Amino acid sequence: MTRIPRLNPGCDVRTLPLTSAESRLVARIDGAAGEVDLARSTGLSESAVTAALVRLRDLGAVEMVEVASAPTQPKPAAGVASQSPLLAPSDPTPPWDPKELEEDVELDGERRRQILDAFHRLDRYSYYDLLGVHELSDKKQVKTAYYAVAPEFHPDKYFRKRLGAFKPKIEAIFTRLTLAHDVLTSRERRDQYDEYLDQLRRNRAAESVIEETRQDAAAVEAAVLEAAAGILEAAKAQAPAPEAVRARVQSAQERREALARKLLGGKKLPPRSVAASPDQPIVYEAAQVDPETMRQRYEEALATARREQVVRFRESATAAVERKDYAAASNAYRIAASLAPDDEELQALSDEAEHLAAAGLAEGFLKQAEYEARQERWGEAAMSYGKVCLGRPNDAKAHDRVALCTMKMPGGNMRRAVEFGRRAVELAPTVAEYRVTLARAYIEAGLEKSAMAELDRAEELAPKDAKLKELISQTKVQAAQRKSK
Amino acid sequence: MERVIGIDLGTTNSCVAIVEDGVPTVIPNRGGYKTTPSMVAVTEAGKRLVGHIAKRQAITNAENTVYAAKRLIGRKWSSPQVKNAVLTASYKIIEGPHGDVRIQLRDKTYSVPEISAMVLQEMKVCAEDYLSEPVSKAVVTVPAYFNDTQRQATKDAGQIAGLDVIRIVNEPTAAALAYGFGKTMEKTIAVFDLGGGTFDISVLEIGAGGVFKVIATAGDTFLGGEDFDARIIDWLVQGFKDQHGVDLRQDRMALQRLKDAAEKAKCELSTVTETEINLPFIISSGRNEALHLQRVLTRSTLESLCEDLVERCIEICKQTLEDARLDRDEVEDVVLVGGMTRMPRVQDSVKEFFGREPSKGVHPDEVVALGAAVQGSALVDETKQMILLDVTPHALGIMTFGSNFEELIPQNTTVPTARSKIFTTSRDRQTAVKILVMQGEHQKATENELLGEFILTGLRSAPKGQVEIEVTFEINSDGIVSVSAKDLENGQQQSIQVTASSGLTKEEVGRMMEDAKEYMVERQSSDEFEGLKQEAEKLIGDIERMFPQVEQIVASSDFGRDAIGKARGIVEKARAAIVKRDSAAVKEHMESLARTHRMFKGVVSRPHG
Repeated sequence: MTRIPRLNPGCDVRTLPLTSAESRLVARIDGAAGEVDLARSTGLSESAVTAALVRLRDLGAVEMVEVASAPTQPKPAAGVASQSPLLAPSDPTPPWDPKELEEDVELDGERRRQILDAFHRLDRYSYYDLLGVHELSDKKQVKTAYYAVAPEFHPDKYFRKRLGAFKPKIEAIFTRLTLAHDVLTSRERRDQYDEYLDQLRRNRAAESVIEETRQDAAAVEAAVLEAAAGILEAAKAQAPAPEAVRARVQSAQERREALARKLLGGKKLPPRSVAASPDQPIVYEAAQVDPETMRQRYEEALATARREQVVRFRESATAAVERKDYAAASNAYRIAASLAPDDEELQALSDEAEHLAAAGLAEGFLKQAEYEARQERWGEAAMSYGKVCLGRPNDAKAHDRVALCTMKMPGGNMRRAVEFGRRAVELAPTVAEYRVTLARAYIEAGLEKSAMAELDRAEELAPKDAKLKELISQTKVQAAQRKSK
Repeated sequence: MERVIGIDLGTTNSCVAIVEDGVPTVIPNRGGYKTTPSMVAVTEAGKRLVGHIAKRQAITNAENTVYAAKRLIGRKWSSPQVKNAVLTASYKIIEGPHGDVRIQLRDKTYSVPEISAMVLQEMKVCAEDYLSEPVSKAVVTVPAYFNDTQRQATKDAGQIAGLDVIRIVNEPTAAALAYGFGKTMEKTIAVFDLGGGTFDISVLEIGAGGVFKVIATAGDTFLGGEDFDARIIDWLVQGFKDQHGVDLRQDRMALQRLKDAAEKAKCELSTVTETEINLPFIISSGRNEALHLQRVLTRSTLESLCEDLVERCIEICKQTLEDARLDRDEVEDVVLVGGMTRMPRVQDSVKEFFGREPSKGVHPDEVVALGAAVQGSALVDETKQMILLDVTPHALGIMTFGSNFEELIPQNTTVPTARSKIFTTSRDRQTAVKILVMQGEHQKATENELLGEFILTGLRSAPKGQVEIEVTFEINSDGIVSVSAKDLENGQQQSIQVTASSGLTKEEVGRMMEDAKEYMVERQSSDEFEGLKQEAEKLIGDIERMFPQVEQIVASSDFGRDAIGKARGIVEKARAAIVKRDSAAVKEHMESLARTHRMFKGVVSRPHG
């Protein structure tokens, strides 16, 4: 027998006073992993995991279930990377220009490739991934990991070698690795960074929930049809096989439950009102049934199944709204609404939830974007502001920010900057500032004429703002210079 | 692969080491000592003396013997430390042409890097003698708390001495490298380095795979053995004044004798609890009467004289641990470096503060040079698995409105690194901004060291605070600071590479280098001449001693008389060449001298009837 921790569905872990280690442990409890697995996947010692679980149990967040010690498949240790990905071989299609390899420097080909790979992949990894540690790693593990990778990218390794354009790249990699080390070994900075990462993940999760809604709705519809068809088929068969029906109903039900679990973030389903549980199988008459009755019966079964689903998803949506998880709520409402297209109230609720979800997501992305902009990670900030725009399609400022950040990032797509700049101006045609941003984007994109026109309009709009006027005339000079070139 | 020597250029003593067959080894000097006094003197005859021989004649030639030049290197004439040194030093310190410091020795003035170069040159020669091959690359150590100006001046000294200083390493860091060399360990250590002139404390992590990462470093560049000596001198001078009413400070020679005696007493008190300072005929009273100094100094008196100095060290340790965010018990070992750590009171204080017995594994006088050699070999040898991640000991930033210092790169940042910050204009219609690059920790910019400056022009004329300028600081792996300023509105950019000025211009360094080279050539030929002279004089002496006997034997023949005449001629010519110090001519006559010598010997030993 082994003891497996399971989350207590009745408990909202977010309301508990958990340490960051405990909350990360909670995130890895999936009802299958035992203590050993958890220790492996979190990097905590087994005794630490046990201690944390005892506390979580006392708080009511977790229950321990005894299961037969079936040989638990050693899970691929997802969170445990043994080394920094910067040392690992790279993608088959490198994101850099192969010409960079040809520079006349004193480095062998493999080294060149490693450096270019690492440099171009820096933004792809979180600080944890960069060092190859997991989020529960303690200070010592972070240090060990840093000591393993940092020397590989310290310029002293190539002392007095001709490094050309590789030198600043090596230094940039080293600086980033050191930043990762410094952040992860300082309690305060790590907490801030974790908060940012959490935000990032919440945003991504919410995003994917919303993206999947369409698919999910179709799946639910299919499940309903299947359930009804099963009933029909079973009735059609002269010799009904209750076992088969039961199995089919059950499998459909399992699918639904799995889906619902996913939607509800791994929590157990709220108790269902109409029970069609496999424990009480519906017993159909074995007698001869005429086709009309059969059709009616099928329609009925379908309607019941639908109603049942609508009620369930509506309930879970309400619950999600209560927890302020608008993404899940919007999702559930949308499925419910798709099953009951005539229910206007439900449609309205669905629209509202969707609106709230989008706004919430935008709020999250705004936080993310602001952190990124503060860290001067312009590319990422531009992406995040772009997502804010998705949630707030009428927010002129967010669009303006996308344009600005895109201009600041090296190798930014100027057409995108122009596009967003234009949208900002469209949304707020009287704000001269946005027009200046657009004009600058035009200049960058080589469209000096359009830039001039925008600047003229900006001038008309703010004839008294000295600062802006000055800025406008400066930008004009710049545009003129570019043009003459 | 060319060998790299490691030089610990100390305030009072210097040491040179090399990694030989994978083992760091200290190279002894010609006298067989492992350390060489960092002293330079010029004799009445204009001869330059370095090391032990300079120290031995210091009392009789106090005005022309330089000690502790390291305390002056890279400092401005106007700094309080130099002002203080002018008052207490027995040699003459004067103002240089760039507000720097020069030292007057007889009829010539020398820059401080030139003086240090003489010591470095001496160390270079030691290494070359030992290795029997020329050496041109070195890693030189400096106190961790040295600023960029002091580091640059030390580099200049290396250049003047004909050395390519491939890296400047902090002394406590070097000590840690030697301490952790060849061992596999993961440890957090503190290096407590109290030398002749400076105090440093560094906290390092030694990681697996030969990684040495400095966590924090701090110190005081004017706190060391010299200050302990000064306390004893003060005590002696004051006591003498009370007793005889005579101020010994008026007499440079007396002061030099006091200095020697104080240092000696201090060292003795590390092993005994009481010592007598006895300086007969220290000075003459106005009435033609010789006065003697005789006093007993106990260890406890010394400790009370120097109590605040030790406390200052411990105070800095405390601050450093705070900066490193470490508790005392997280430090797993304490390494003592520098001669002053032999003082029992210092050891006790360190032990008390860190709550553990300091490590006895390293030699406090040699470990720094050994570490420098280790770093040198790791840099040039790719197969060496050792990497040093050092930090910048001082904050870097710019001066902002109201003479405030705005920090960009904080103290203890691992290099290489880059940071930027956005500033705005401080006046209405300001179209240019002067970026003053400064180093230090004071909030008042004027208290910090100015490293360089440049002007960003062409800003948009606007009310103050409206034009944004992004300033970026970058320190690369060679410790070179680059600063750039960018007008965020029009993208205009300007940047400089900040090379701290050592107080010498490039041309001056070049000229001094040439001078030093000339000196090397001169010195080599003089060494050669001395050798020849000795050999020739020995032959001449032998020949002259045999003359009467040979004359007696061969005078009867014409041939004999002729031979004697020729021999006399040879001896005279050789003598003349020796007097002229013409080594080429002496060399020319050596063969004839040897031939004559052989012939005379043959005549004398032949049995005669």
